[in-house]
Amino acid sequence: MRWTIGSGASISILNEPWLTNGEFISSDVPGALSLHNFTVNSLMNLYDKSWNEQVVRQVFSADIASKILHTPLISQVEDDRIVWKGERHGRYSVRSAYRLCVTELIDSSYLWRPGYWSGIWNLKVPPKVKNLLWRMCRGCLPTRVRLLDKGVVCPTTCVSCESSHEDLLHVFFECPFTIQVWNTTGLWGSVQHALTQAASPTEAIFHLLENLSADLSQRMSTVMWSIWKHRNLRVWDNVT
Amino acid sequence: MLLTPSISDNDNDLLTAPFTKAEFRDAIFSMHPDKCSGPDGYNPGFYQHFWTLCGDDIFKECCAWLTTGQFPPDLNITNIALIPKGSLQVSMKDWRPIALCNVLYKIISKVLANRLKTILSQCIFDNQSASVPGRSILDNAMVAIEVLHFMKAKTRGEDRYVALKLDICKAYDRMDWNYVMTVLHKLGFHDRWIHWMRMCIESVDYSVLVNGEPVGPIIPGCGLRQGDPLSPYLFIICAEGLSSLIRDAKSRGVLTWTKVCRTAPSVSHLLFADDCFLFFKANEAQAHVMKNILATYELASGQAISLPKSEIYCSRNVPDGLKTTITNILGVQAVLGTGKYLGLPSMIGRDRKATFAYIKDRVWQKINSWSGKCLSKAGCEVMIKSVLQAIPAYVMSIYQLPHTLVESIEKMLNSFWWGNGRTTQRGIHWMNWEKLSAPKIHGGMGFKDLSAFNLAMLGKQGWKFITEPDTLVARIFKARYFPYGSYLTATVGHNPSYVWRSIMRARFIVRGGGALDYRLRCLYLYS
Repeated sequence: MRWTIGSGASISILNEPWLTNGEFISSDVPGALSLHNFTVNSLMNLYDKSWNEQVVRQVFSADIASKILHTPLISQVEDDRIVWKGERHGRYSVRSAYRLCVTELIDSSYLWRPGYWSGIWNLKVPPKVKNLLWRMCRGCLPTRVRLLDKGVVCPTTCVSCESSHEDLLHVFFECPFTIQVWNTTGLWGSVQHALTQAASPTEAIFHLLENLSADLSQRMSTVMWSIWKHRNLRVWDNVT
Repeated sequence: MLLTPSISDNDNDLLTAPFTKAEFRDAIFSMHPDKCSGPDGYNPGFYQHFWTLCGDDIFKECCAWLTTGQFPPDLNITNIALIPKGSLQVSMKDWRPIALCNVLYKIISKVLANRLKTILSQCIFDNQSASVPGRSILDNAMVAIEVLHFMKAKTRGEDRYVALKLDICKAYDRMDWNYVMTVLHKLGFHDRWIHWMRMCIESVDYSVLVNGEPVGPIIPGCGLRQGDPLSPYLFIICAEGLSSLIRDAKSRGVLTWTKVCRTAPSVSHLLFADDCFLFFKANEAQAHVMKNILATYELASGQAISLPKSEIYCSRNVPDGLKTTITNILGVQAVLGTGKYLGLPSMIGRDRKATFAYIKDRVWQKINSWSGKCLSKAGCEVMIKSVLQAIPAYVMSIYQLPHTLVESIEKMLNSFWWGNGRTTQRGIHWMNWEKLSAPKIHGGMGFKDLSAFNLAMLGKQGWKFITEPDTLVARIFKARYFPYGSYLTATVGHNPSYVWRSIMRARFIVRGGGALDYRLRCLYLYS
């Protein structure tokens, strides 16, 4: 929060966040005792609403004085008002406070993963499809290789071909069955191109989402969902 | 009656001004399109959809009814749906009668209610915080909790206090019509307006829905309908009657109000619609005065206070003998303990984990109910975001939940997410909650970090202390905790209540987070 200075008559100089960025002058600064009952307007030229530089430099040390002089005074503002920095309308909102708290207090940015995530969430497809894409990109889709990583004892053979390494890349891009599916849906060209561009299947998906038209991205994501569905049916219900 | 006129001519002009089509439009479009329809079977969605066709006709017809002061006889026929209260239904008391009015009537009533709303804060004192724009249920709860905390801490001295929590049974349904009209009259409402209110309330004709079939008609002689947009406003206006009696008793010097400290504004009673908290001094004379006040109010308004269900709490310095005398005079037996006021725990002891444990149980219940069992993964996401995470939100807006509790709730939600709707430890937990709570554009699921959310909610209360210093709650907290400073410079102080402690913890957010106090950060991260 921060004050926007109107007349300055209701803001006391000490302990109030009226400097730029909501900084305040603490009551520990030298000479603070004598400032106790003064308000901000005593540092201003009243006739044209500007800082009285002479007084400011006299009272405060150089660094605080320069901070004060850099605080803007807007002549249109008439009343002293407290504004919240997080929202444009200047009123407190839990949403912006939460954002502030997460970014500045616990600093969760180490949890962030790079990627074109908005591409997934903005797709116009059923939410279950989006969720599948998200799980693929976060590596929590239980392909057999991933399951083995997690300590689940199971064979790692692919259910529709002879390959013995069923991972994300294989299920969605390398298995002959899948390639056939991509071919029939007319997407194999772009998928192949994306695979040569990207280092991992996740990156390939992001690449595809970024470069395909909205229509084709929708088709691509639904095809992926169907491939996974087919794979699951094979594994669990033995449907071919 | 001791009510003084508080409605000026100006307000009356506003209330009875000619109607505009925009008002009717607003009224219709502010209703939820799928709300239940009345006996005629048209729901708000119908009127919204065909507003361009029938808007003019509705507007003209309604205006004609209001100018002539006469509704057509079948407009105000109302169905009553009985909604069960609690798990076991034995008598009629265990049902909540919700009135399903015709939408056409509701439009008119909503237009009138919207007008009434604008002038409400002038005729309702700040002890009442229901339905008045700009007042919050939390204000009321915070004042009550602060006063109870003060009484709990009062172990010595001659000033002894009593708090009485009233249980009013069937408050809306028992309201006396003549009383409503008298109160409106005394407050200085225009005759025309009073006539409109009379039209709306008294032309009712009920049918009760039993197994979907209307049974009736029942012609009522009292009561406000629950489901009519006007009712809440009329009810709180009527509750002003009780307030005025209490204010009068104070001015005559027979009733002492409670102050949490010397400079604080005194509090005599807190109302939230029919939820009522009364405070007075613990002696026989005042107990008698209070009893008389309640009897007068009951007689005038038709309300019935169920004394066996009401609760009493005495400050610690009240001797046992006096306690029994007072409970005998008032006829109240139950002692206010760890119960809740307005859904919030009103007294927080040392064992915070136990006090707030019920939140965890509620989340657990919701997860285990049938509704969570057959959801897709995407359904689980919506369930977590809009149902499960919302359960603690209300309590979190004034209390900081213990860290262990927050952690165990998050753990529960996490296993719900990865277990596909089951809570047993099945399914691989591919990611911890922390990773899931990252924003969606950064690869998380956008779930909430509950402790951060908690602090953000608490910050709102602190912000209100700064920007709305004239509310009752802000004045009380100022007097008690920062008489010479502001929220930003205050210290936690001597023997603080848990509410204040919680709000203080969120202060760095309100300050803007710029220069973060290192100590606070440690406290937050490692507590």
